[in-house]
Amino acid sequence: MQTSSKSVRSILKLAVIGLMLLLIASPADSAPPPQESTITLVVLGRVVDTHGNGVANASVSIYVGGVKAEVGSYSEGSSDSTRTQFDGSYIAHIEITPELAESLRTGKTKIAVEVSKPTYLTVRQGIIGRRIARDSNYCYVEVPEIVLPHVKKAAFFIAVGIFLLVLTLIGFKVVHETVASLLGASLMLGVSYILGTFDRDFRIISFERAISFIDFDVIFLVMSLMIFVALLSRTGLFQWLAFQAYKLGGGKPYVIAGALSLLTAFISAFLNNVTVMLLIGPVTIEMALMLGIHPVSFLIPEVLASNVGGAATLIGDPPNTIIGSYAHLSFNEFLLNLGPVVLLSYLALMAVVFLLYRGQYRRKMEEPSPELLEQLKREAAIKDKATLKKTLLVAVITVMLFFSGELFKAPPGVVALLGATALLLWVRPGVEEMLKEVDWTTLVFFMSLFIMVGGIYEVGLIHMVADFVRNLAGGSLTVTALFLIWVSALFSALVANIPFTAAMLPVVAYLTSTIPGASNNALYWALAMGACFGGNATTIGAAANIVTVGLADRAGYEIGFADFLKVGLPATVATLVVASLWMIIRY
Amino acid sequence: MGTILCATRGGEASQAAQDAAIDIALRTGSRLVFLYVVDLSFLERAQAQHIVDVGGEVARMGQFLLTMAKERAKARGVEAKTICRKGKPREEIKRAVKEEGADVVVLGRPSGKGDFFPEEALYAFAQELEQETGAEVVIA
Repeated sequence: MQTSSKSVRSILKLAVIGLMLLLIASPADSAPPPQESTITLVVLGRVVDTHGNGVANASVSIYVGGVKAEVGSYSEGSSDSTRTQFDGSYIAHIEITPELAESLRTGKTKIAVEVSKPTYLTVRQGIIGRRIARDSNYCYVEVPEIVLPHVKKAAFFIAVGIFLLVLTLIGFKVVHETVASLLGASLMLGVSYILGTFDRDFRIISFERAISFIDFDVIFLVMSLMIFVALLSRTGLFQWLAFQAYKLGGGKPYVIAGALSLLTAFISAFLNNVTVMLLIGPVTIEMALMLGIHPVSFLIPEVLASNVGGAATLIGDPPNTIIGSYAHLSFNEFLLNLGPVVLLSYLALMAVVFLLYRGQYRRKMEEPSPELLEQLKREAAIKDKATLKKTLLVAVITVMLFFSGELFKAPPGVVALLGATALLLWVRPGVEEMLKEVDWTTLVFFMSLFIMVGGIYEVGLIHMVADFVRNLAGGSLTVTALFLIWVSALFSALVANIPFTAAMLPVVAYLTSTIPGASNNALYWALAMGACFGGNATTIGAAANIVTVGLADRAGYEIGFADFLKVGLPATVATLVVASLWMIIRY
Repeated sequence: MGTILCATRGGEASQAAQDAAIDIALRTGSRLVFLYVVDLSFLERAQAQHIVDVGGEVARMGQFLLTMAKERAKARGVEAKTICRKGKPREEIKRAVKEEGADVVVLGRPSGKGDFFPEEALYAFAQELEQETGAEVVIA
């Protein structure tokens, strides 16, 4: 019985393997063989936008002798048109008679290609006989690159309106950022499918195209880092480090403020700024209160340093993560190009902070009460040494992999995912518990944001902005870099740096490819510095600022918009000046 | 002997409320209870990663602030009890008043910068608290 069952399984296995071989060998992924007495006309080419980027999913029709031909494509079978691939390329095949092939080759019969896509101008291009080659069974036509300009139809105005609405909702904190971006993405898709069904002028973006804009490298990187942070946060490491900074201060407020800020900046270079502030902030408030110092004079320098420190690495701040993934910039490139300027900016920031808080830092500190000191010590103790050792070891290996990422050609998302998975296997926290630690709202925010950026890219807003910036800067790398630093800082301070960065990336990519000397990626660094440093100017400029203000409020110390601005604005200007000088000297 | 409940945080405004509560306790010989409410609503305003133990961190800070308030009372010869609880401040204050059987509730006057308890909202809440619990509310 057992033998018979084994035989049946073997036969089934053979059948499955045979079927797979048949499928592999089948001509489904190659052009169909020409029928007798016909020739296959193969038309191939590429469709690009005005910036030279491939136009995906455009409809391509072939006209032979003025008549629309039935076109076969590799993926879609026969129809009256084919579609461009992601890179804008297309291949179509048409069955024709040998006589017609000859007539095409000699130019007696004309062949033309018509390309159309909602939000773009429909373009028809004739092909001359010189570009037609022929052998016994096939006739090849290489179509010159077709440039498809955008046209401002209803879709353009609706997409721009939706994007501005979302920025307003986020900027004024009317609704949660995730809700705002989800609203934007769903409105763009909803309009495309509901109104677009009746009138193609309303088609902003297709679902398939929208999904292709989601950067899953960013999603996996952010998700994996959340797992690291969740485990590290349980160990008490951050609080312990903050307490060591306090001890190092030896009773001198400005030394304690400097040490706490430096510590926060360093940790923020590797971990989410918000989490760093949520963990270090409460201990900082306690230390300040124990010493009779106003907690805000420790908290604000800390959060400003956190935002500056986060700019140093690929994983330090969400704008950097998005930039790195989009432009394929490595961990090392970030550190080499932004590390030194972040250090200089930190020094400028601390100079401003010491100047503005000199009154507080010169105050004579109170002798801490033994009971409060004991409570602080208890709070700042390492809580789980075993998990800490394991997590730190995996974190160090992961960071080393980030450094050597270029060697393996591994995207940062993959490296972080490997580290997070290793951590889950080794530390063995409950998987459900860990998945709860992952902040899905942030991931949904990123995905919706990428879709929205896809929408404004498809309708041509990005191209318009890119052309505007290029013309404004007159093609000068320095002017463009300075423009990017200050404008992105302004947007980050007033709206939010993540949506702005995501929207500006295609603009910067275009400028990088067209401005002389910009191929060293200087403009990406300018965007990163502006987006990260600009968030320091106002309470709403960065998520870390908002939670710090919230923490201070929970301790009974309100930080108003103006209070923050008094310190944040000069500090931001100082760091932006350093960034601008760095940009001028270094690039 | 009555009970005074002082809802507190740690800033200047809260210190005034603490002092007022201590004064009443000294004057009436009432039991003094300091309450800190762990309110995480500020996290809703930011696109931020909410790690599980934020509540724990703020609770520890609250406990620290309560210890400070307790020491403040002790320095003036009043022994105080402390309570730290998580939730919405309004509901938690009401619940604590009922559980502790407080006959006087001391609340801090808003400093005017934050939007946690604007002045009008504070007076409206004080009225609501008096009606619901029967306790006298003092705004210091």
